[in-house]
Amino acid sequence: MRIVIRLFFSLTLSIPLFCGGMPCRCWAISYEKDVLAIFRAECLACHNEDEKQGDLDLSSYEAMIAGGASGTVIEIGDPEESLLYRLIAHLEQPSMPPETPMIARESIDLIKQWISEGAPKDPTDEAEDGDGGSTIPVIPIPEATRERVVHFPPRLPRTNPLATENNPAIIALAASPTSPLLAIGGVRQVWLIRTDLNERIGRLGYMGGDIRCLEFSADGSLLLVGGGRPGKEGSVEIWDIAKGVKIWTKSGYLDSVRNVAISSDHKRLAIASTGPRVDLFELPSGKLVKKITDHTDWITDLAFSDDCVLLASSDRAGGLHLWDSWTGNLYKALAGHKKPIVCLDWTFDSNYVSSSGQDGFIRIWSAETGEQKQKIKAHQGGVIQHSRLKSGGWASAGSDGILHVWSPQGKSLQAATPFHDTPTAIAYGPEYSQIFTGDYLGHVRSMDEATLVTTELPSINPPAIDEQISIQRKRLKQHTEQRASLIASIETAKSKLAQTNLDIKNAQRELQAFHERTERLAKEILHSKRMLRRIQSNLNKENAVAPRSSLYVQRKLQANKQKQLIAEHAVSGELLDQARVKVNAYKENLKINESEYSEIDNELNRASQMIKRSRVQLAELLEENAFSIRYDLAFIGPASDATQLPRSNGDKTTEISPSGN
Amino acid sequence: MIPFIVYALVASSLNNVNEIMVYPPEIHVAADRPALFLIRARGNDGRETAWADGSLQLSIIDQKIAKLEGRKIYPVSAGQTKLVVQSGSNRLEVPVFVDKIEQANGVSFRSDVIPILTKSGCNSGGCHGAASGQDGFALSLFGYDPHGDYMTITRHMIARRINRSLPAESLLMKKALGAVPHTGGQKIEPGSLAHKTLEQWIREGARDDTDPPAKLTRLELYPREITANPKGKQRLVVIAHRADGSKRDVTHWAEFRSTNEDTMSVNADGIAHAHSAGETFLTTRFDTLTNGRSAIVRDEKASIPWVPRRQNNTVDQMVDRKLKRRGISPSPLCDDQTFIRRLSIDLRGKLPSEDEVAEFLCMQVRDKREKLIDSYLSSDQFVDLITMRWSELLKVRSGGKLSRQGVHRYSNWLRGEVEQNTPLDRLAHQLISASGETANNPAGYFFQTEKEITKQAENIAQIFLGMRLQCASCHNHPFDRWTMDDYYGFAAFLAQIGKKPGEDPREIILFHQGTGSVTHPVSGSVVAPKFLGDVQPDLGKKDPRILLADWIASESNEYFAPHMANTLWSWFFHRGIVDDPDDVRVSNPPANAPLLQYLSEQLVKESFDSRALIREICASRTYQAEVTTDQQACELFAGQSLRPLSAPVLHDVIVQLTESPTRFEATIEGTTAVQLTDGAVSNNFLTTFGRSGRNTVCTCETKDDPTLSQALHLVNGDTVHQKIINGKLIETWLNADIDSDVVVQKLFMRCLARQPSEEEILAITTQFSERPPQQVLEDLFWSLINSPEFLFNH
Repeated sequence: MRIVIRLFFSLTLSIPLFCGGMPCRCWAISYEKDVLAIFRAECLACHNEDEKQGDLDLSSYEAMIAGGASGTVIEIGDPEESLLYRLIAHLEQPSMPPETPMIARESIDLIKQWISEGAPKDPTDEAEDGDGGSTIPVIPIPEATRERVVHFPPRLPRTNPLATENNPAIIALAASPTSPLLAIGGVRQVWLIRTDLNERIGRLGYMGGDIRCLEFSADGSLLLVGGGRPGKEGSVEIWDIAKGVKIWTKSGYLDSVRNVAISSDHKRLAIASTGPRVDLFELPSGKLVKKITDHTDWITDLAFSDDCVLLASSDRAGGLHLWDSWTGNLYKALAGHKKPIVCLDWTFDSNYVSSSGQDGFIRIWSAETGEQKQKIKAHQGGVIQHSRLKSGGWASAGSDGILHVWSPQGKSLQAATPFHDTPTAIAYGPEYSQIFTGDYLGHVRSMDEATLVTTELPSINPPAIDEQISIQRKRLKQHTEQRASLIASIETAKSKLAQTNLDIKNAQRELQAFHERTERLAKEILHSKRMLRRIQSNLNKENAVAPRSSLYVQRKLQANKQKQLIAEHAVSGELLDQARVKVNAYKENLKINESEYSEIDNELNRASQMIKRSRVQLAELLEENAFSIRYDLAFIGPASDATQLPRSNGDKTTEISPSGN
Repeated sequence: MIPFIVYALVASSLNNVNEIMVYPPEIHVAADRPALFLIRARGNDGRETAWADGSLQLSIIDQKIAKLEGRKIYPVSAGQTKLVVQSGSNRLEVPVFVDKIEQANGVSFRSDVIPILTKSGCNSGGCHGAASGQDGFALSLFGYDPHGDYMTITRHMIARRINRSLPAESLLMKKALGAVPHTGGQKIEPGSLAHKTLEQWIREGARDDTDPPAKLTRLELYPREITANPKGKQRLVVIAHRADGSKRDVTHWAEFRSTNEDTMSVNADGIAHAHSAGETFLTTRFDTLTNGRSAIVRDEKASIPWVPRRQNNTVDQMVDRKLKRRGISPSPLCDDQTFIRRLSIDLRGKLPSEDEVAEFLCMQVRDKREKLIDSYLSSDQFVDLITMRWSELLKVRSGGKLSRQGVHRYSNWLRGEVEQNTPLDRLAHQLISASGETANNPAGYFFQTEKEITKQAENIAQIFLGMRLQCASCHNHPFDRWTMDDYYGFAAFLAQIGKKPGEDPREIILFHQGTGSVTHPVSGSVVAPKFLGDVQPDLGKKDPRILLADWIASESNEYFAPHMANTLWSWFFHRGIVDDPDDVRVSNPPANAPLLQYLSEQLVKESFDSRALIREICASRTYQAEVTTDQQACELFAGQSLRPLSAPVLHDVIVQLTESPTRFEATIEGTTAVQLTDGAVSNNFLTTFGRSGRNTVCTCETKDDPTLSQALHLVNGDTVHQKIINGKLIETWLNADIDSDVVVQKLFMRCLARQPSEEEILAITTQFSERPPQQVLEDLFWSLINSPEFLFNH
């Protein structure tokens, strides 16, 4: 099972899925299905709609048939006479693509065969009706909600099939506007983190390459993922958070998608790839409303106002434009930044738009008049990202490595340095007033807006589950071994304790004996004293019964006996004291032994608990692994089926829904 | 255990080999990468050749320290052992040192990654090294700012260029490998060492060096002598020496260039391929340093026997030594007519008169050529001509910074110095250290010709040391050893120069300010004055400019005397031994180094007396040789080359011939073009023929490439034609009843210093029968002036 997953990821890492199926092709080669993919990888960088080098555009079938400055490039049915084939096969100069080795032989052969087969456009050609009148599939985008609803995804896999040696830089970071949920772009996957529990709750796969941008819809119900492979391709995916399902994919960009934005009513979508163009789409139809081409340099950020009226876009040359978000017509151009703008954000009331740039300023513009209302000198060396705060103020991070919280009047309220390296992203969760930061080395932290108390969030590059399982297994084994050794030591402790108890008993017995003897001796002394007294009183009587001399002898004897008894008593008393000390020492011993025993006993309990916990954790990991594998298999199951089916015409969309949950 | 690896090389007939040599003499191996070495042979004649004397046995004494694979030594563990090379009774032991593994910090950004980018051309001026970068990605030119480059690569557009998690996905690599569309195409071969190293660097976390590598002190290029037969191959090895004493094999990251790719080319791996006979200069560059070595390709079988010629003096010995090595025979001496015309143009800027030619031809003294040289050297015209030469370098020109009065004083002072034959070191010292009011010390005008101190420092380096430092103002010099530190250290000598207006506002007063400094544009720190490639002097309270003048105008300065000697030489051969003369750099070596060294020693011996050196040069057979048009022969001074007359000389010669002077703006009557003091004063003729405007100190400002407009000017322009008419020379002669045939002879003698040939006389006689003599003679005069024989010095 694991191998399947590995294979799947390694496949998707380098080769688009449709190439995988090429060798066992059983359908006719077509422009839309096969050839365009090759063009996209090799040719479209220079021969596209916007940049027609040699006046040639290969990005659409019609434009390709129309040819370029050298006339037609495809002679249908005759590859040897087709300029396109001749140039890519290096039969004629200038060979294409220029200054690079020939493209893969398989691709050239495929194009050759395609031309000789009549260069068809669609795989099924006339079988389906053409562009006119076909029903455009509706994207199942949920209605925007007005009340603030917390959106959490259902269970998602939490394993990391792409654990890497180095952590990725945090370039895509988005906080849900309604929920304690943070989305972070990782390696080929978006990680979702519950910021209230400080826990990784799952991942969403992104097969299009590196994730460049993440955006929650205003109600937190949708997550937009944009990215791609630099210099090669780009795409956008829309996920329904509550369902945990990808509902729409827009691919076909020639470079990474760098920015994406959705209006709060879910009616408009704006996408910018690596370049100066903004595409405005209508939702849920997915129809293109307008290609905005007024910018002169790469687009750096896009933002819809919360009331859905305007779309703001900024570029790398410092250009800032406001558009009618419904039509895509220019509303205002705001001039001020001299250096690249990096980030845009609207105020909550939609009356002001803020922009920050490499000139180090955050500028706040009135959307109504186009005037610059405020200018905050925020960061030496340039702002990296900024975000609006509930208070009406701003948070910003800059090249100086500092995070600032600004009052609405532009005063720095607080500053912190939560970055290990160059800051790369910040985000703000309004519902819980949390500022999130990301840096070049892949650390993500959350901070309380008021206190800036910082918490490190879980890594987005956790160790692979196999590794975690083997670590957990090792831990379990350790705990088990520990318990075994503890059981052995508790036995010895027990026997030691018994021995001590026995010792005490013996000593006490001895003590008793000495005690009794001393008592007896004391009694005898008393008796002897009494006898002596009686003898004395007899002596004192003038006329005694017995003769005086015998009384003297008796007195002498009795005195001697008494002396002897006293001596014996003294010895016995000493022995008694000794026995008492002994008993006390044994009692001390007992105390020590008892505590030792209870300590070991405690440890044993703890070890048992650890074993229990380890077992639970291991079970959890195994279950998680099984779940993830099931999920991933289910995920690619329908996906790979989908590639076998002819695609819908018109827009290049595919609907993929995992059935794993 | 296989202790020996046996190489069976093709045994050759060369039996004079008696010694094995190994480069480098000590092999230092890093703990994480192999080192290369070379085996060469030294013959009985002391010459170094390829090893071609049978089989070689190679072994390493202690296999626990290092092991041998092919011609590479791989590290095993830290320690010291020896490489043993044996062939028959020939045996050599070379020490091998292997570093401790702790010293290996993985791939270094500064000493691995940047050299890879440089070698692949990524940071060159045409690509991402351009000031504004390329397609949004800007690197420093040839990596002069490593920290900036590190930030650009890793922290600019974060995670786009470098993907630390998935190194193979990094755009930096994919672009260079051509795996994604790249305007520059594929720059690095997939699977190559460069590719693997880059990927390894990213895998290791794409870090900058914690401790920057020690400064490079020397770059060694092996072998020391390169001679090859056509189609031969030679591996080159480059060792970098650093200030901490470490020596590293950097062959893989070093760049190689050949000045003459047709003779020998070097591929990226450092293997030189010989193609055809000739000489080339191979240079290698790594980091800030460049080193080079000349290489000769000789076809042993096809060489023509070398014909010796008379040697007049040591100059000829030096020239012949080189010629012999290259198999090129020197040209014979030219005849007396050619000599007097050549010398007169070169030393006086005029043609010898008919009488002078006749007199010289009649002279029967053995040393008449030396006598002629001496007489010309003491002529006024010589002073004018040399003053003009210096004026071109010293920017004697009005306008902007210098007033006409200043130009006049500056020029007069200069002429005075030339007339007195002031030693060159004193002249240089006076110019560099000039202080006080310019009216009293006209040498100070030198500082009025340029306001910016860095530019003035560049000028000083170019005029007196022959170095073009300009490149190093913005980035480390790509083809020389000079770094930005050197540049600003040198400019710092001028930082404390004070200038204030004199009593006459056109004049300035130069003084030592005692304050002022130069800041480094990259680091932003103040740079202390430091002599080029030399020490940082203790300044104390002294005027740094005087220290600079002392350092430059000194016998011990390794650049000054050779550059002065070369400059003088270039006046007589139309090319320097280092050419251009003011482009001295490691990668532009002298055509004949011993010759240059001899001339420079001679100049020092003569206490920088320029006339003495000129005398020696002109007395040499090399100067007096017949003209050769063979490019290689010219480059090695086997014969004289055809040299176009410079614009002022050509102008003056035409005036001299036609006896029809030109009146220049703001000059007294009779001023010749050579005598013009002001570079700003010119006329159409002089401009067309490329007279130096004296705007820069560059010798390249005097243009001598023939242009179409020059040809048109001579043929159709009014200078020649009008002057012939105005001079009325033909008319005067005919009126004086001089016979037409005699006039023809006079004209030939005047213009070409020779008699007409029979063929020429025949052609002219035919003309005389058809047209009036005056017309024919005027046409002849015009034709002679327009002939290449006239327009060139030969």
